[in-house]
Amino acid sequence: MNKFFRCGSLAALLSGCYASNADLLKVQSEVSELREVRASGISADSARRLQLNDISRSLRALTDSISALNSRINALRSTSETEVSALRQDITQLQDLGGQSEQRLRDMKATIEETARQPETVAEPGRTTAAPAPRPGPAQLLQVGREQLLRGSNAAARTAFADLMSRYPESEFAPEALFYTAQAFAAEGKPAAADSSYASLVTRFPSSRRIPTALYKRALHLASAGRRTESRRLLQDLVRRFPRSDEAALAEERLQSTR
Amino acid sequence: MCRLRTLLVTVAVGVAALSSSASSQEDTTGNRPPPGVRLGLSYGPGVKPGVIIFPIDETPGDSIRAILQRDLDYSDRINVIALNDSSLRALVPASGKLINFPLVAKFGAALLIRARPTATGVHVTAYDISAGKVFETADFALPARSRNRNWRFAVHGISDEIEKWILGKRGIAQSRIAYVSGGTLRLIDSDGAESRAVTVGRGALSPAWSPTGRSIVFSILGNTGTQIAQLDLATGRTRRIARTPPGLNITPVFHPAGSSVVFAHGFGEGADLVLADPDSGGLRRLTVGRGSDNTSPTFSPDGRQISFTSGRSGRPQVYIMDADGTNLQLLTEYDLGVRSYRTSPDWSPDGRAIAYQQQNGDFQIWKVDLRDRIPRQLTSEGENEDPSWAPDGRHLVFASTRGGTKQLWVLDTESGRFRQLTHDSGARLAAWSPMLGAADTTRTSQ
Repeated sequence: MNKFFRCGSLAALLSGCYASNADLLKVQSEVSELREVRASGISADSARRLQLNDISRSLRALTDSISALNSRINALRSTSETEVSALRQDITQLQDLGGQSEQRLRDMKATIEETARQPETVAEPGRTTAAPAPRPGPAQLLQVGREQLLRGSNAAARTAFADLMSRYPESEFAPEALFYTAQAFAAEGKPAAADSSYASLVTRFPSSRRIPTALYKRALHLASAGRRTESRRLLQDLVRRFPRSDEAALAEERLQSTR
Repeated sequence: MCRLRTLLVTVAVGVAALSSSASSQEDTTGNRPPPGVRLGLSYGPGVKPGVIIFPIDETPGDSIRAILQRDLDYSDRINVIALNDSSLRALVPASGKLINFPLVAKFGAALLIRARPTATGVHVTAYDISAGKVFETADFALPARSRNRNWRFAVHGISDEIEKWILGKRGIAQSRIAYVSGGTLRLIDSDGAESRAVTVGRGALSPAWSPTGRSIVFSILGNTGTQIAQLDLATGRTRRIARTPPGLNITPVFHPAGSSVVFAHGFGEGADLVLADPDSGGLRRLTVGRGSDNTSPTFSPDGRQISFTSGRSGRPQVYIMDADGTNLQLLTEYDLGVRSYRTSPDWSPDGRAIAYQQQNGDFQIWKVDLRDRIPRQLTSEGENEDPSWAPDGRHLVFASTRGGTKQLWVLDTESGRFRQLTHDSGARLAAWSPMLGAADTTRTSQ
């Protein structure tokens, strides 16, 4: 009985050894295949890694380029802003100097008019008579009116301006006379009369440089009188017609605050 | 010590002027009335009326006399004749005797002031020397017979009233000057006395008086930038102006009606003037600086216009605009390429002129008359900055280095006379108050 068991076990062991060798070969071939696959996988990974590196390098280069471009744009913007600011200052200087020249020109015209209206002395045998003095010119009337306005003689100033407008309605100084008439009324505490003059200025002299101011002042007057819709309409009109004026900037803020 | 020196100089000048004025005005005692304007008193055109103040008996008497003499002298409209003791003894009549008017006239006086303390204050009599009779007399109440701040201030009121008797217009002795020293806001009387701090801490800048003189608005450095604050002088309490936005807020000024405050507010780049509207509690922009700095507003007395400094043309210049922000005009003319600039305008209380500082190498004070727009230089010695008009529209207070260190000085723009106001180093940014009170007067007879 014991012999039988020993022989059986040996047979079983030998048969088992034969199976393992075949399997081993099979496994070896599979491993070899796997190695090949892995080797090809590794090379693919390397390629991908290389690609990624390339992409990364490209991205860095792109980022650098963008940064450089950004810096250039900022520098350009800064330069432009500085230049725009300088340009704006130059324009303001020119406006200031233009205003000064305009004032001097007005004074000069007034002086010329004053000289021209000096009465001529007519010499006749036996007696000397003075010819009637010519009327003052528009520049002179404007100057007189402005001087009265600065002295606080508002009624006298208005008389001079009214004189100018009635005698020289086509004069270049007529819009100024109307503007200062409104200012004189305002100084006298007559806002309705001032508003009427500003309205007249807007209607009669639509190309006057005083129009944005007149429109803005009219809008303020209407707002203080409780006529808010009309006031808003005027402000909108001002912003639309004179978008670059200071008054337009003020009007926009008023429109926003009363929305 | 310095004040004593100033007083001694004043007395010396008065005595030196005595001999010449005594001889020059001798005619006033003659039979024929001299030519000139008569406003109760007779005096020649261009000649300051001479005034002698008799010694005042009793304890505070000498102080009252000293204050009156100094105030009338500082008015620059009256010639205070300071006499030595022997001359005074000769002039003061013995009890029950009459004043020797012809003798007083010999000293060049047009008016004689005699005062005596009373239970409630002081009784003042003014004599017209040429007429030889009483010109004005009044009782003035004084707070107490101690020489404190209020008492001195009440005596200033007497000076102003005497000036009104003589010239028809009150003086400016009863006013004060606010200024900044070491970052603290301080006040000083118009004669240079009673200097005191009214804020604690540092960082106070650019004070401006309310039209009533009851409060001062100023900018103060805080955690969120510079803020606009208002100091109530009666309570000493400081409060922030409602809704001052964070950031830069400087150079505030009251509207002449006292209803609103205008100041410069930083808008990112540059600063624009804004109106703090008490009705809406919000701010309304007044200037469109487009990135430039627009600061230091000052109102015309009628409140219809604002003068301010603007850098819109590259270098700061003084402009005028309507109070609503329109009708902008350049006030101080300049030539293209000239590098000088002008800042810190202050509109005179009579509305006729604007004073400002001009930088052209150094800082000097200038003024421009609004009628002819011709600039006139007022100072030339040392650096002179930040002018502020007195309520009479004639005197200016400003910071100057003419004495070595930066101090406040007062200039009489008509006579060109300068006097030092402060003696603590670093005083600057002065703002002269409006008239702060009228004397408590009872006119007894005339």
